[in-house]
Amino acid sequence: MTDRTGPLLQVERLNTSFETRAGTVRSVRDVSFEVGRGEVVGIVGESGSGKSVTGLSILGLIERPGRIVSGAIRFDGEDLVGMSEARMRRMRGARIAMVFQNPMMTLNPVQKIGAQIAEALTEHARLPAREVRARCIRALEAVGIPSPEARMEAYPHEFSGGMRQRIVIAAALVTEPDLIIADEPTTALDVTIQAQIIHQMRRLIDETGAGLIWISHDLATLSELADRIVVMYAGTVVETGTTAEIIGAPRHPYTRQLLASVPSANAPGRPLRQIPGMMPSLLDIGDGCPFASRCERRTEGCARPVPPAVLSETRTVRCLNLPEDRP
Amino acid sequence: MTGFLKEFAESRMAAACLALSLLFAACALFAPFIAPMNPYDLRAFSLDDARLPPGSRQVEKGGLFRATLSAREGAAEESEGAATFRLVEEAPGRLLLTVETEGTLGALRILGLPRDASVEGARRHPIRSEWTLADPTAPAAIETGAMTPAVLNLTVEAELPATATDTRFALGTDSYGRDMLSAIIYGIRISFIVGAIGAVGSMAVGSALGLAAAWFGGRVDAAIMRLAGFQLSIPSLMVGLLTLTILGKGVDKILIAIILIQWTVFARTTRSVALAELRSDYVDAARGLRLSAVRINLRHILPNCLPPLLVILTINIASAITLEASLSFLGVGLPLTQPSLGMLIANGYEYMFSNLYWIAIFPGIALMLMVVSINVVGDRLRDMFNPQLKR
Amino acid sequence: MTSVPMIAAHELSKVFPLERGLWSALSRKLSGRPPRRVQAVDRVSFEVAPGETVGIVGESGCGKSTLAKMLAGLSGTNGGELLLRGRPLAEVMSDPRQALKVQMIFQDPQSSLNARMKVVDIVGEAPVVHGLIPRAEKEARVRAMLERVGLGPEALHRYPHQFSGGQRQRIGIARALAVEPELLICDESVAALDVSVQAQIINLLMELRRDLGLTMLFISHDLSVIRHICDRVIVMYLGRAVEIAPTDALFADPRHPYTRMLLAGMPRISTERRAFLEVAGEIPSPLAPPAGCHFHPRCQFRTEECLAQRPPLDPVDARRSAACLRWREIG
Repeated sequence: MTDRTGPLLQVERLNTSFETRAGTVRSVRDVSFEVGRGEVVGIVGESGSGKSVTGLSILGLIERPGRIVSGAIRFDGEDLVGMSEARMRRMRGARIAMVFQNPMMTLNPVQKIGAQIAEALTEHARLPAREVRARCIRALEAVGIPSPEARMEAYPHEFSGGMRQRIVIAAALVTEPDLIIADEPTTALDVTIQAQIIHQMRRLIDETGAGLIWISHDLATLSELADRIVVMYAGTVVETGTTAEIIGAPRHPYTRQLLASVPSANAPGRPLRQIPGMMPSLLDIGDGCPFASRCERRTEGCARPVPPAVLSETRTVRCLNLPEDRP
Repeated sequence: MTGFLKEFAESRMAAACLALSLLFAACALFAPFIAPMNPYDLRAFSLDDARLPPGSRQVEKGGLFRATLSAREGAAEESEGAATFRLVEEAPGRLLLTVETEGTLGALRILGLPRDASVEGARRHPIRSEWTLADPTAPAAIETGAMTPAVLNLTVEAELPATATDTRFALGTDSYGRDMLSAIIYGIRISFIVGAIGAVGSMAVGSALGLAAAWFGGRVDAAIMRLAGFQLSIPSLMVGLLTLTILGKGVDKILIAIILIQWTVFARTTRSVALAELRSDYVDAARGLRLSAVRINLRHILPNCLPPLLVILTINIASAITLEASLSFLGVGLPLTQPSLGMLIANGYEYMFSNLYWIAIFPGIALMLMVVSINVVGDRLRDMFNPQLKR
Repeated sequence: MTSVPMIAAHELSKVFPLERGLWSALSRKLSGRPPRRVQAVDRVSFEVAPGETVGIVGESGCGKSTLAKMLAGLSGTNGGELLLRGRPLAEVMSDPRQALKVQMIFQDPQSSLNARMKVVDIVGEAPVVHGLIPRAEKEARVRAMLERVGLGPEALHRYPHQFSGGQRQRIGIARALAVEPELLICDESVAALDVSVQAQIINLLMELRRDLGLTMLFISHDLSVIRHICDRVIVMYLGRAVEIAPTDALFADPRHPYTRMLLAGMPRISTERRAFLEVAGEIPSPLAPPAGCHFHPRCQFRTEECLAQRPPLDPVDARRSAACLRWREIG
């Protein structure tokens, strides 16, 4: 790994849009955040918040009719936007890894898992077969697969859902990437398995010093795993901060209301506090605050673009009418 | 709907083929109004026009009119067919013959004159007593010679030549003198209707069986699918030949053959789509609402199976048309009284090597265009209904 | 609980055969081995009082969805007894009017609505077919139902794809309500929804329960949702009920080791990173569940006895019971 200073990944004013029959869907608008080495950054948002598109943009996996309209994605000082497809593919193979929600989409059902994990290694580097095997076994061990040597010869269908997701994570880890992007990796898993994987992920990040972007709709898992949290709503980042700041003292009205609406924040049996209305359509959405229509603190200024306000070194909030302190 | 058409037309090729398919459909529906002639009307064509190349004009038949006249009372008039003959005694020993016809006279001959008689401006046959006038349109003056005109019996032959009319055979004529274009349009009508009804019938039978297989599962499913599998192992033309050999010729018989062949495709597709739909929660919801099995199948499951079925329907119309054409070509399909494209090709086939290419080639091109364009439309529909290809 | 229980299940079982067809039957006959099968629900007994909301919680493969389908009459039973308001389920289901009293709300708002039907037909079809209302009143009934679930009349003539996930779930609820059910079975009904939408739907369900006096069976893997709306909870593991307890008691003092593990693994919103306790093992395959207590391979309290014997569902006190030989020592 490089010992350059500065953040591992810097996303700056990223805009990604999709041209559809109906018009332009501005899925990601003016998104900026950073990921440091050995840091877990959680991106939280509901469906349509643009969190997955942000992840795909970093991976260079936005396909027609979508495109990155503007912005910079600096990875280790190098801008990934506009990088050639061939270089980007090498980057994804060697330095940036990804884990998606459904492991069966990633795994080839008719190939032994050992071969699938090895593929990532052999595609970009010439390595002796013994070395490849050793590294695969180490990766499987790291994600907690029992008797990895024997399991190398098994096919994906011989594993349970949780095991499969571990294998996908092992395949992502085997190249010792600097950055891992995981999109809802535990959503389809059971609670106890999810807890195991989160635990292992945290340990791996602490050990390897890689950066991890964990994209999820689930504030609870993120609060247990992430160092910092990026809250997204309707394509924009509404608030960023350390986990303690976001969970303990949310400033943006959306974050506050989101936290207040989860069942565990409400007395059992009582009506949950709910956010009125719906997320606006991203189709030809304007530049004003997207939450304004549902916000009780909105003023006329909210219809104009709202710049992110930097509150501290770790914290930005995109709101004109910040509530003072925790209610 | 307009959005759907717009999306469809994103492929120019498909749009052109859709237009062509619709044209063929229009041919099928409005053949009597489109075709220049009715190929079933025996009076409308004659063997004189047989095997004319494309672009030839239709020929109006000529005729020979003959009358025997006698100017006993100084004048005589006789009508024969389209010709009127008049004989007038102009002067003693001199008769004047005028012939009026529709159209111009091709030749005028006078027979049965005595030896010493003569006709002005006419040539006598070297042996027979037959005078041929040089100008058949002008009145003919006859010098009767020694005989008095009153006892003279003369025979007049007026010949009308065959004339080309304005009617053209754009695609030539077949061996019966039938206009190929009209025959093709009527052939398209029969082929298309047989194909469409056959495929729709197959869809009805096949999807009903497919739904039953998916819904009941177990033995019903096994029985239906085994039958379909067994049948798919026999070439479809073989099934058609067998069926028609047993049943005989006829539109109804060929429809039965098409349904027997094609139901399998619909049954298999319907079954597989329905099985996926049966796992959907909305089916459980409908069952929870205690709706009847028939209702759930027809109102809930079937509409969701329709997109892939419509694609198959389109493609199967094309294959039903081909099938019918093949069977008719082989002589087991439609009876002679209902000449489909396949039979037209078969009829023309024997002339292929006598350089009379148009009799087989044009129905062949029509069949090919129809089948290809329907297939392209079907492929386009499949692409549009396939979410994986959709952006 | 003096009145007749809404649901009384006694030793309810469901077995799915894995091998079907002539071949496997023949080879079984020849080899004499028993048929392979999955015991999806294994002798589960419980009662639900009218007006009560009972949660069923468990991980994938625990049989909670199979149980839901049996209760809704969508899937037969293979043993045991199931009474609805004191009458055998089969008898209730043979009378359409009575059968309609049990309705289900599904998980996936996408697939639970027929994409090719308009809302007015989705909601109004069953009441008309069953003669609950004359055809002429269909629109009025649907409009009333939509209003009930918080949708405007403009929804009547639209198709499901024109709605968001939360709205679709509301339509699904309206469809169930339109046939005037008494028992609502919610199978992961809020699992596929976003947090803010989830809150709206949970509120709607609680409001309906209060206003219409519905009995509810709430199946979920999400303990925080269960805790919020249920009166009692049934914890299931590999087809068996391992603990049945009032919600407060279950969360405060779990008696079954599996319940403890579930509660420990439950993600909580917290301001600091949690020191995860290493959760042992995977859920075994339901095809080959461990002998004795199904949970013993992952259990830190296991003894020799647990390997041999299926622990009975023991009453812990008047309202709760646990299927663990050592429940007294746990908690």
